[in-house]
Amino acid sequence: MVKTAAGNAFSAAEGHNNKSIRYHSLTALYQKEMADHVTGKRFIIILILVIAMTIASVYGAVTGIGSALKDAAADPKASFDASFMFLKLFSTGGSSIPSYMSLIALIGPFIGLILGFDSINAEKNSGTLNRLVSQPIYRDSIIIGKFLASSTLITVMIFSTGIAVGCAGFLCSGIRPTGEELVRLLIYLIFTDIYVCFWLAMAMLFSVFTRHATTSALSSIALWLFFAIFMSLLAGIMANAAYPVNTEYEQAVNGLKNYDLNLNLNRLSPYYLYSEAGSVLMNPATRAINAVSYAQLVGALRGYLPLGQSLLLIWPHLVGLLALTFAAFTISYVGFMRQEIRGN
Amino acid sequence: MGRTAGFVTGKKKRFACGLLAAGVLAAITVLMPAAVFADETDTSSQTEAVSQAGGLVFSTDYPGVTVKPGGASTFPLYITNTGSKETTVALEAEDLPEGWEGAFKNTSNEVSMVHVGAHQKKEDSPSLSYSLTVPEDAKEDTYTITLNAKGGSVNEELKLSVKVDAEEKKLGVDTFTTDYAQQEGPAGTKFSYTAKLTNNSGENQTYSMSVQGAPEGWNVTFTPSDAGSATSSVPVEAGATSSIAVAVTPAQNVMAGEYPLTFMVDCAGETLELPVTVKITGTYGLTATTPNGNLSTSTYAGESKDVVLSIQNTGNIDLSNISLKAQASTDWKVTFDEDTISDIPAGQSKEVTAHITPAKDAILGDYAVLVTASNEVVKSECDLRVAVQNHTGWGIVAVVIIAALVAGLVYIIRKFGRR
Repeated sequence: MVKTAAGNAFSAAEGHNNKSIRYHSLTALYQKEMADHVTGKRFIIILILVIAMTIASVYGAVTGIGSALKDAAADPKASFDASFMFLKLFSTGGSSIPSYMSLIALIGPFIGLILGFDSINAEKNSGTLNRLVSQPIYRDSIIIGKFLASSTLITVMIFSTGIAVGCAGFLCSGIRPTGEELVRLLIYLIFTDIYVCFWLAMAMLFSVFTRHATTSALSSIALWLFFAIFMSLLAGIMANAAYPVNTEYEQAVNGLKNYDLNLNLNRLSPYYLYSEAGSVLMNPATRAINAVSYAQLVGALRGYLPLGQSLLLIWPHLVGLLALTFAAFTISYVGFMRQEIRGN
Repeated sequence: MGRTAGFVTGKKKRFACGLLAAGVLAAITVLMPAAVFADETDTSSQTEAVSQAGGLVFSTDYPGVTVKPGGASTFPLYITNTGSKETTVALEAEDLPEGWEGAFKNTSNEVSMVHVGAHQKKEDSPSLSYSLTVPEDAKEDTYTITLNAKGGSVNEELKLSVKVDAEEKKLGVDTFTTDYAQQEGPAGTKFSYTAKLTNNSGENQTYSMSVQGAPEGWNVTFTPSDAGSATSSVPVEAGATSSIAVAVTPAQNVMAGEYPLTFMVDCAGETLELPVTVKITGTYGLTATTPNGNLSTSTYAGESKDVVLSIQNTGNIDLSNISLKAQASTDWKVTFDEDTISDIPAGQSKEVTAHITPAKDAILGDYAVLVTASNEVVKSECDLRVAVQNHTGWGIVAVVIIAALVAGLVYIIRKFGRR
């Protein structure tokens, strides 16, 4: 009875004001999801993670830059590149602490995974989803709302850490950012945001297609581990199998091909893709991302790429990462829309 | 009022007293030696006095001179004393012909008496001279003029023989010489000659100096050794030699070659010439740069870029057969409109266009391209900085792909969203 009534109301509303209802239901779900996240215990875990990461990376960067400066002062032959110092706050690590960039490339996905791994199947299991779809709302508002709420949270987190690291580094070291550095940092943070959102979309994908939250959590963590750690090993093994470089002769013949294959296989990993793009953005001295032969380096001068050229170097990364995110979300979207929920 | 008047009178009185005292002192000082001297003359015989006053000798360097009518001559006078007594002698000239003028002088005043110290040697002799002016109408002859130095028992005389000769001037010819008349150096050298100007005329003369034959843009200055800065005229005393530093600064863009110059001094219609030669040796100079000095450019991998080079001949010799070469990274192509420039005149420049094509696989960023312009004697290098860029078109492709992705997502939401 209730269902029918809801169905009637739904179809009646559709006739009158389709767009406004869709928008209204999406806003309501978005706000509810945000409230759930912010008041949940999970949010505190993420917050602690992010704060710890921020403090560690600022400490690492300041000590790392300090010791590099000391080394340069002690040894007149050692040159210390003082350009783009502000970006070094993000790319420099201490002796045992990784830099902000490598920390966020490793731990950033966790934020996405924690926010997304049980978004659908937990609600399905507890039966709340069943009640939700019986409301007079579009069903896709549910998954879109969840994704948007989580990605908003991710954006807030990423930008907070980035700005916090910049400000804390500025306070500790007195390094002032230039305009170009700020723009590079902004683009880097947007990039990071997309990267973490990809992992959110992956986690949601698992949560759509698995029945239990544990399964989706484990499988998404497994995927993350695979890309972060095993992909590079696997790429090395495959490249060596295709182009062996065991002898000096093989090294001479296959060296470049081996390297190229290794690199391209690695680029299948979002982790590698993101790290490579980040290093180009945050280190303007990076001029090439592919293998560079000595012939290409003859007559090359030390210098920095303008921002536009750096962006032109990594646009495939940006597009690839975006495409991966969209693909993951689209699959989970289609899967969710086609699922039979009421019969559950 | 009264008090003021009284003060004034008091002051006057004191002043008068002081004056009186000074006068008495002065009188004593002046009279005392005279009194002593008087005593001596009184007690000793004439001959003794002479010997006691010592061998007082009154002399000049050149007692006989030749002067033209209307001319003048100056005799430096020396009084020496081998004796141990000081004395004062009065100076006087005798036998001065009618119309002639003569006067004893020290450096500034006319002198009538002179004090001679004990054991006075020639170099201690006070500056004293007798200047003689011969009237225009003096007849040609030899005149003897006697100069007397009289004082007490001393009576020394000095005979001057003055020959009046209308042709006098021709006897002494002024000279203007230098030791090193030919000098050489590269462009930019400042040449200096030391010229010696001797006044043999027997009169003090002022010479005006000039140069002839200096090309335009050259700078020639005359600086007498006793003058602080350059001047155009130099006074030279009779019989003296003045050393004149002549500085020759050739023009900045002077060509190699020999440049004869003539230094000239001019006095009362008489001109002395001193020919010298300045030899500018050749310097080769070549500079390769761009017309506006901008040595950086940017292009895309595999795409040619034209850079206008300016090859300048900065030397003073014409250059020929200058070949242009470029050194760049592997697989880069650099060609020139003209590989060889046949001729660049001294001081001029030629513009050549270089076509720089980076290798197809050049990485982004800056590369150095070294352009060398050289012929067999001279060489210049020009470092160009070429920034290899990516086409912005690829950025547009990225934006299009992202837009397509968004459109795809929207399409899928539209298609499946109405459940």
